[in-house]
Amino acid sequence: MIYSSLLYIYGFLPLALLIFYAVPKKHREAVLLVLSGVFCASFSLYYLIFMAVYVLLNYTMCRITEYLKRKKSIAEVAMASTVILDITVLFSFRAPYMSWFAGMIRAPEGIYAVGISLFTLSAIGTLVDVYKGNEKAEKNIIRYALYIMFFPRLFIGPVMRYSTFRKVMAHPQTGAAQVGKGLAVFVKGLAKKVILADTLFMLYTAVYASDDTKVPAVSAILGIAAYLLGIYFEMSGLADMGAGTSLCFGYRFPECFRYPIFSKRINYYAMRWNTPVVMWFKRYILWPLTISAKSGFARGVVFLFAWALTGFWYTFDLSGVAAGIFLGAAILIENRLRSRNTLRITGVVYTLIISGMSALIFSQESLHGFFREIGSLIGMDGLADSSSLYMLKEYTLLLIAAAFFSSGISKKLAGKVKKLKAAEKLSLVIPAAVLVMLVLCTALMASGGRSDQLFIKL
Amino acid sequence: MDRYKKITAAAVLGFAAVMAFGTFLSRGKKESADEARTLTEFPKASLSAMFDGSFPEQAEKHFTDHFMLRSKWLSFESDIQPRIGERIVNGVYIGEDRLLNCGISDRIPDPSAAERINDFAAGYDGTVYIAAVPSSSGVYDDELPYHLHGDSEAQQISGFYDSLSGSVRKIDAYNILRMLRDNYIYYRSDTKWTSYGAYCVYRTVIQKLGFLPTTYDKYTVLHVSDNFRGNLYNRTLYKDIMPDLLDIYEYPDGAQVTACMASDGDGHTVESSLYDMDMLETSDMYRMYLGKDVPVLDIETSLNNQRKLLVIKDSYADCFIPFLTQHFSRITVVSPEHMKGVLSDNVDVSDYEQTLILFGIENIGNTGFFSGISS
Repeated sequence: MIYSSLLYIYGFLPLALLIFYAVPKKHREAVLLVLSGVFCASFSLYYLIFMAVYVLLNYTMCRITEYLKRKKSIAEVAMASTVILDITVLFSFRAPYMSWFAGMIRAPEGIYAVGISLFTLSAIGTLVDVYKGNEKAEKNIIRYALYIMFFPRLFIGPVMRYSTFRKVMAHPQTGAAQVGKGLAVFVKGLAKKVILADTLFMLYTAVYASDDTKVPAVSAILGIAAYLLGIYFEMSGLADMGAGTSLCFGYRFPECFRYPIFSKRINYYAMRWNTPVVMWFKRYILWPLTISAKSGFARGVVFLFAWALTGFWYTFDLSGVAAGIFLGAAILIENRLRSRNTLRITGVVYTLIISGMSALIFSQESLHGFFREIGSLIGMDGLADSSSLYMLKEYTLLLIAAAFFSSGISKKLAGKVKKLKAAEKLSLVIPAAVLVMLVLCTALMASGGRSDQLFIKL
Repeated sequence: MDRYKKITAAAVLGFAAVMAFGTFLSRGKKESADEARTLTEFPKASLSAMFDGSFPEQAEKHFTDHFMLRSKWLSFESDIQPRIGERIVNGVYIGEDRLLNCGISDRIPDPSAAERINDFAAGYDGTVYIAAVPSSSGVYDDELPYHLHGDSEAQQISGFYDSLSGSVRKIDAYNILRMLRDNYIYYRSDTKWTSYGAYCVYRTVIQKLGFLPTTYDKYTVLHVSDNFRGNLYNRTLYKDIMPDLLDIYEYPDGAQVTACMASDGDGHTVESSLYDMDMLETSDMYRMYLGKDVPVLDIETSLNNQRKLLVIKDSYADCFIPFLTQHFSRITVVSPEHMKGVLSDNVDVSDYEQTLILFGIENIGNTGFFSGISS
């Protein structure tokens, strides 16, 4: 089951809320764990068993690592061996060249451990923190299990430190108003996914699907715009759906996406795109390595390495590495060259160009493909043909709408409206708007019953 | 400010509850008349089906299929999706004035199918004629957006013909239809040709079989329905395409059908007819041609020329068969899709001096379709 499916919206979620609010407060975390178990089983029973083993193993190793804290060297072995095992499992599901390992742990054909990229980061981070003594190992296994497999966090996170998670879980804010807010956020995410991302994917495939490798410049630009915006809306839509669901149960987790596309600096773009994951790589890869790097040059190399790894985490192949290094290098150069008082608009334009380029590298399977794309972009295959004009005609409106909603202007406008005197009355439009959006999205999912991940699978 | 949040919660959850309850109530429904298909059943629970995920997958399909007011939702989807720039719904392209199937490029002609036909022709004393009929998306492929153009149906058909032996007489239905594309030769809401499309190809086919075609002016064309919605409509429920006409070509002065017997392959025969008007009252109106699906249909006419024809066909031929009745005293129509066992179990092939294999492009990549032709 995925969030953007009829079964989730009209079956699982309402039923989960009903059960959750019917149960006394002290049992609610246990209920959430049972619900998360059912959610996992809705992929396959194998996945549920896998998750149970994974949770038990990491929970036990956290406890053991803490228990052995005095004997540093044994604790290190316990920690390191678990980290290696977690990473091996991650590779076995995500990298085709490691799928023999998935076979070894008896994964049935075609079963994917959903969200494994995310919860591996969580598990490893916590293990390292416990080992370093920055974090106490969780004794409550229900809560630790929720840390790994709470269903609203399964697909996209946010990845966070255990202490942050603990704080959020300690003070849930439940109630009808909270549910309403959560549902509004959920529907916003659903609309991002079903209306914007899915349609942008159609434009993207329209540009690149044909066997003809000649792509005129206009089509190529449309294709990159569709890819960048599409991947943004798919991921941030997923994040919103997860965050909305969490809110319904009273938990407010950190935000993943903070309007990265129209940033005025590359650095901001990179930091606003899936912030928790970027922070994870900073905390556990970049900072420890930077401390040990002596020269400025070595620090630069470490910086690029951390970005390469971040990119690799998305794709598990070289295109992600290349895109990561490209983005990291752009940030380094920007930090050197950029004076503080550049015009906002120049900043936005070059950030767009750089982020578009990194998206282009990210989407290509080979270097050859990348250069072919660059050739298309500068008009080596002509400026436009009849299919470019067709796409321009069909999709311009969509691209403008997508750009608008990715820019953050809509949020600023909403903030201004809130300050108006009539805000109280105007806010009554919101329930109607949410319901209309929900009906539209339901209709758009009607034929297949769901809207699958199209751009990226984490 | 909390008030609007509470109203949102009540509105969304209320709506979800109504939909969920309605879905629960309609869970027993077996078939959808609008979509003309069987709905997914709730899966049988078993440990292995749970383990590999096939149980939850089918359960979700069941939920989707029985979703409250599904037909209305689907129709709504087809209505709004083109407005946001996405003209493909459920694999169907919604064009200006017709619906077109989009799955053209992923169909690969099956070489073993050609071998089956060659085997059949080799062990057969008479002459084999073959006509592969393109679908509407083959003839009107230029109306599809550029990126959907795959291997054209013309290429698929000629590739298939090339792998047939020289003794099989091939009929180029594609180019005949392509030339006449400004006429009403294809339904707007179905992949298949109209009776007129079939008539245009019939003129060529019957000459190859050694007869003069009946000229168009001899026929009286009856529009038996002006409200036909075909298989592409069933997949989208898109209402803004004009409904289609179903025609019957009558030739009052010509030969008449004297007997029409359908056999079910088990030795039972029932009386049938070329047209089953009762089907016009159902959601599957196209079955008006030749009636319900049967493995073998035996047609005898008032002609006394001792000419016998064996037709091996799929549903494309249903509106084509009536034209043949003016030339043969006996026509036996076999549908491999519904036939039990192999061809020789159902008919004595040596009785016929001519065999016509007539099928739609959909079956060109279908291994099962031709597998029973030669034993």
